[in-house]
Amino acid sequence: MLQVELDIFSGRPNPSWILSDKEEKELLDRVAADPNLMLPASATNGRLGYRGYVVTAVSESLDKKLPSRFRIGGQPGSEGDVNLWLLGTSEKLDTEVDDYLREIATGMIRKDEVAPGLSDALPDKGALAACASNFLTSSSDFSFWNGAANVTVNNCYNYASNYRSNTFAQPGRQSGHLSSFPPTCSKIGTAIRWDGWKDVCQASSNLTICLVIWPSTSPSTGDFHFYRKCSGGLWCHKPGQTPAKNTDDGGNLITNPQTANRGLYTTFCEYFYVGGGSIVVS
Amino acid sequence: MCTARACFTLAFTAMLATSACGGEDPSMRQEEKPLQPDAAIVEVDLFSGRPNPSWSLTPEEAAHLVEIVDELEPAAAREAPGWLGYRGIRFRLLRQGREIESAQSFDEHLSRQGAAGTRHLADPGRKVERWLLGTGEGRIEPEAYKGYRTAAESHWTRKKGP
Repeated sequence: MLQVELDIFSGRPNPSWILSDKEEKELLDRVAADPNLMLPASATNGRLGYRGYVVTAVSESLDKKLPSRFRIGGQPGSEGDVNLWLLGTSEKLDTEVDDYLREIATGMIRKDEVAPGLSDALPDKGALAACASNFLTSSSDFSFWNGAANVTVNNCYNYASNYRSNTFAQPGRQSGHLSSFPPTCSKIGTAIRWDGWKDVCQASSNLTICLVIWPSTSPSTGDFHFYRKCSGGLWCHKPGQTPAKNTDDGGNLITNPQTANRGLYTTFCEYFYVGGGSIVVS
Repeated sequence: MCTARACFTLAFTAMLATSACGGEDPSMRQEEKPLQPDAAIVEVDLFSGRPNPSWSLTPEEAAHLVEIVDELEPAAAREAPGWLGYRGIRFRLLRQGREIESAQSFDEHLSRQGAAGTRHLADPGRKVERWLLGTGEGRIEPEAYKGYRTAAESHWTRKKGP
């Protein structure tokens, strides 16, 4: 049985709660998939406000691989998905965590995700590579995508893949590895790798894209989105059924998708590459 | 006796009167009447990557939707939103499985595409948009409905957009 303590207060005791069996299994699965999520319990930056979670085994477990006490999240640049998911597990009748406290913690988690200048501290997210052979389509002429017959049936993944399937393409569908909802960096990243996307530049006609996530704890909300490097030093994208374009949610040209106004899509995941100027998706 | 202009007016008036009395081909008259839908599909325009949530309306609800849309006044053309997140509600009117009209309702505006082309209408107070969203309650999972409603209401209070 695992107890989760929300490390947020300075004077009063932190609130804590016990994970359900299902939640405990999910946490263990997440940690098994990415052991870097686990930090020493003492690994706090000491700031005021949200500092992550301290997870403690309160009964003996058959799984001896985990330490009995460890920390998750709370670091600038932390993966937002697990932070928000754990916060969601606090929605229990017998905890002291109310909506207001969750709102405060959510705000700090999201701020941590997009903290500027911290990308160097995130080697697992990958830095944008300077590829030798770039396939860059126009950053101003989107007529291939925005005609009446195509605009509503192709999405951000179609545009990113430079492949107009007219099927509102889903990561992993072409390769038979669709992922479950809500989407996370890990799940969508895995699905598009199955489709053929790589983590390094490709030698010929290289397309460069990046994946961002609207984090959620509920399967019915949360989403993924892609940006693709286009001509003129810009990044372009196609939000769902709407026309492809070169501006962000603030109306500004996108020169850096990591700092662009991305609305609810606050989690920046990483960059991916593919050769040949396009890739088949469905 | 009449002047050429007056004679033309009389002849034209007579032609209209004949038409109004049913003197024309009945099948022609049938074609001029807008087709009434027997179903409608409502879609929350919310996501970028995954498919938008959607649900179907009953024939009665589809007829009511046409009624409340027909009550809207014309408005100046506006471009549909293209940002990330909640962008309004789309709907399609169907008859015998075929789409006869589609529309998008956003930010107190409704653009309607049908046989008559595109028409722009004002939807003050988001009457149609709110009604459309409300039809999802009880049709989709409560948690999902709550999430979509929260996204819409958050947009309505924030009035997002460049």
